[in-house]
Amino acid sequence: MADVTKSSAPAGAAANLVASGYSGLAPGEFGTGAMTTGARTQWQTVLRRFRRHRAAMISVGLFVLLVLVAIVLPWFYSYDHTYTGGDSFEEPTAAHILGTDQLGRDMVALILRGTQYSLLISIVVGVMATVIGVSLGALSGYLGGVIDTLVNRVVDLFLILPLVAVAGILVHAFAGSWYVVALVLGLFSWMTVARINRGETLSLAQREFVEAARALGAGTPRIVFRHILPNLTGIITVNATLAVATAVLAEAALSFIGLGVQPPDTSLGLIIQQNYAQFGGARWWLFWPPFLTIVAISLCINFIGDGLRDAFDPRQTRVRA
Amino acid sequence: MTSDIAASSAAAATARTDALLQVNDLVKTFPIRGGIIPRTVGKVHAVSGVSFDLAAGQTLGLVGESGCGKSTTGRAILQLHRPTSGSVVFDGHELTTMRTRALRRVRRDMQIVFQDPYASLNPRWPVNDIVAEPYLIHGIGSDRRDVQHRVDTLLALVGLNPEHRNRYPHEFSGGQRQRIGIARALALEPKLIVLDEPVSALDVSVQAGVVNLLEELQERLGLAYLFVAHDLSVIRHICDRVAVMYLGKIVEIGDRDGIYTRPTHPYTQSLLSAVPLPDPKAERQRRRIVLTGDVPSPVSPPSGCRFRTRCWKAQDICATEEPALLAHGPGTRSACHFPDTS
Amino acid sequence: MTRRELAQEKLTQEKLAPHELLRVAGLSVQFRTEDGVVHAVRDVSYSLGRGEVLGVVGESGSGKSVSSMAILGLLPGTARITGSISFNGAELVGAPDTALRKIRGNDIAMIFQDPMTSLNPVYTVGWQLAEAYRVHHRVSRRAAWSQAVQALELVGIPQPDRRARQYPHEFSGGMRQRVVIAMAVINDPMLIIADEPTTALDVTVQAQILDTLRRIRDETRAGIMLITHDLGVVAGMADRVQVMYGGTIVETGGVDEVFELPRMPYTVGLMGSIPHAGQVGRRLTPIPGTPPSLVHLPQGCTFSPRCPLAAPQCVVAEPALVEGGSAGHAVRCVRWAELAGMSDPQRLFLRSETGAGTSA
Repeated sequence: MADVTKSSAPAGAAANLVASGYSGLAPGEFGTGAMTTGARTQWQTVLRRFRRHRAAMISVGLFVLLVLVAIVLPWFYSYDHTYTGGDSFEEPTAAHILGTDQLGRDMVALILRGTQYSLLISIVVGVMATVIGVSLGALSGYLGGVIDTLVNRVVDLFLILPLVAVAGILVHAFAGSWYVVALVLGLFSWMTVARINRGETLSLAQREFVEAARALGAGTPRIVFRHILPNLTGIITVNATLAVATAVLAEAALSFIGLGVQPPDTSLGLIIQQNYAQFGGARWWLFWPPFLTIVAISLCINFIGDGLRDAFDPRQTRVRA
Repeated sequence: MTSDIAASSAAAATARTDALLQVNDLVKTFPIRGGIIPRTVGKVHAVSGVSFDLAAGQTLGLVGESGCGKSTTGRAILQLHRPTSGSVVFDGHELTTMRTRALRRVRRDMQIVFQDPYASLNPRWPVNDIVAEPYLIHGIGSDRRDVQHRVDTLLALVGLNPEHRNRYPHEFSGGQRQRIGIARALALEPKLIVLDEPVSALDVSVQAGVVNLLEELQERLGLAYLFVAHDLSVIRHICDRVAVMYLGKIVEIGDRDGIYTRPTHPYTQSLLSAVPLPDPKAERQRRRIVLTGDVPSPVSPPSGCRFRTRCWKAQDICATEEPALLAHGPGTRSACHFPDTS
Repeated sequence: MTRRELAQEKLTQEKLAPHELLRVAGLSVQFRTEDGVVHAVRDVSYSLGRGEVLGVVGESGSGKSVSSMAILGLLPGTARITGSISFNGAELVGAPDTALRKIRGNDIAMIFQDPMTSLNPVYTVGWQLAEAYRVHHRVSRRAAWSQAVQALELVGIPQPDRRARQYPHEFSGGMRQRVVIAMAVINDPMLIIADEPTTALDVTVQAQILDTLRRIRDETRAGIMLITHDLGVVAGMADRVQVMYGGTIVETGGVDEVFELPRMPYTVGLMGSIPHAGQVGRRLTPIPGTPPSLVHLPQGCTFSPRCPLAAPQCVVAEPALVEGGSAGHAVRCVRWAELAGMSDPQRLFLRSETGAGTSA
């Protein structure tokens, strides 16, 4: 690649440029060249990068499929989760594709129902963690002082409280419906989000555009909501996704030890708890399908979270010239 | 007080009454917290008694190297850092005792342009919103179209194409971003703009455009500038008066020609001699004053004259007695016991 | 043996070596990024001899830093380098890493811009210097330490034996940069590449550092490649100057020649946009527009969109580097002769002052 000769423009083009007054000084004309390539908002750039992350894209597809199946299929499926008409421990046949459990319930129907609840709980937990965590984190990060100290102590308190014990007490007290589980898990997942957002807010508050807003006379609400929060969307999105992923497994764990969702509600964790004796046993269809479903959901959400994180903050080496 | 000092401050006092900005003995210290039980273990003496005036339509340059307190001075005047002590009288109002609400009203008349064109604009806001924000905060403008019109006028005023109003900061070059920052500062029609190293982060060929713009705007709009910078060549070009700062104090202040051609303070002299000129022949013939030692830490500044640790003229008196800012030459006042009056 | 004696010995050995140290021919560097291919360096050729200071001037996007990092093979793996870099007779492009490592820090040393991050905060300064020496010489720790202390002395740090035992955070910015210079010269390199060594420093400290570099050049006869955007620094230090724009060299020659008789409109514009004593009271003459994107380079001469002398022939093809008036003074402009004929070339840029409507 020795001599750089650009492909010669047709003579007419050059003449036209000069005729149109181009003497190198037309200001607006070079304005477009001076802009970086393309007018792109942050979301467009993020989406473009996300699309390149293969694992994340596949996970999005799988996850959407899963959710659709969990929501739509029960309308068309022959059995629902309350059906107990099958024989006990039927092996997978044409009638019951994944067999039945001890009570004669169809496994597919159970798993569908369980998936619905697991997803519902996890999303509620994700939303709770995000809302509480971001509000407390951003406010304490920006305001500092007494409020910051107070919030930090509250965070420490919640970190110390044992999740399992509290879950056990509350589940007993409120009969273990799915929303109690969601509430309990939500109360114990906002702390990390708060810390991360506080840190990011602290660093954003030092940035000059915040100082500029103060110099213009902007008050605290305006600065926090219109300046700082929009710059937090990156980490909020990523952390919300990861919070959901964690919640899926946390709910399964709680239900597994009997402190999560209680019958008549169900969840994937509860199904596994009811059938864990079958791990390594002869009746594989009782344990493995729900187990693999949980693994699939968790992996999908984690990969999506990974993809989002890479999309928001690509580790490109910038070329200094 | 000796009669000299009395005379010069009396003369200064009469000249001050109609200045747009009067800064008197401004002090700003930052506490250093440390230890297991949070308490103050030391103080950073960023600004230690700075006084000057600025008249409407004039430009005062605040020059110095890193750590001299010039940026802090600019921000303290605007009350972005609340001063530890001292007085700032702007347009007849004493700012240091004002409460936040009253300050909001005064902020319309004094604005700031920052150094870093990349960090001073919110990356998530389109340019239109950035420039319109001052109007929205203060409730100016009858409706959306009125605000829009004002924004477009501002963008054109600083040399940008109003059609690009919906683009984001990262799509503009450094020089253009700086112009956006200037447009934002102009929105409220201020009387004073503090410019904190406005061109240092720009490429050389772009700096000139922004400097020209600033000069034009000053002529057209009658703005007063407090120009904080370390680049002596730019300061010389744009400023009417110059104040040289070292470790939180003004060591020399005066009109531009006096400072650049007949400096009396040794620090000013060494600063001027250290600036490289784009002229090879002149550079070869120069005799440079090369200072020894390092800039002392602002946590424990030297007693007496703060410059004495690096000054080739230092004597005992420099450690015991702090020199006052006196007129030792025509047009300038400097704080030195042994000023160069040749 | 003291450093001085070692240096003298090396000098006598190399008296037989050729005067020319570095010859770069047709160097081009490209990067693949998500925005497209970045042509960071395009067809750059120059040479540098012993005891010579070459000033490389350019703004951001000119390719000056990338071309110097290419010499030592310090570019990321995504870079595609073509052309030839010949150092002391050996070809560096495509050389295996083992060969390059022998040269780095030993025969060619690099000084970076930021002294804060160039030094490791957990080791003492003396330890780091001694390490730098021991990488290339098999000597005892004590001998290496004494070399370290001598290097500190060479760069003008007072009480070098005491300071060698201190950590980087105990040094000020200027002192740290001196330590970085000491690390660069401890192995008596033949070539020192200094990439914006004083940009992050105050002006009085800058004067000290440049003084130090000059002394080192005088004592060791190393060749220095000084990369900067500050024309004043170049005027004071360089023997020859090379102006880069849009990834390639647009003008090169002796420093007096280029400063007094610039033949490339970009150089003229650059000098006119700097405020100096003669400009007081007049408007500065900036160059309108902005530096070109290295992904979408303009057609023909990369400076033509901003050039007051642009003509139709400038857009057709990029001009070649031709001799511009005297031997050793080369320029990449087809209208250099006209520029040479003008008495005040800066007036060209005055025409471009439009106030509102500039897009710089």
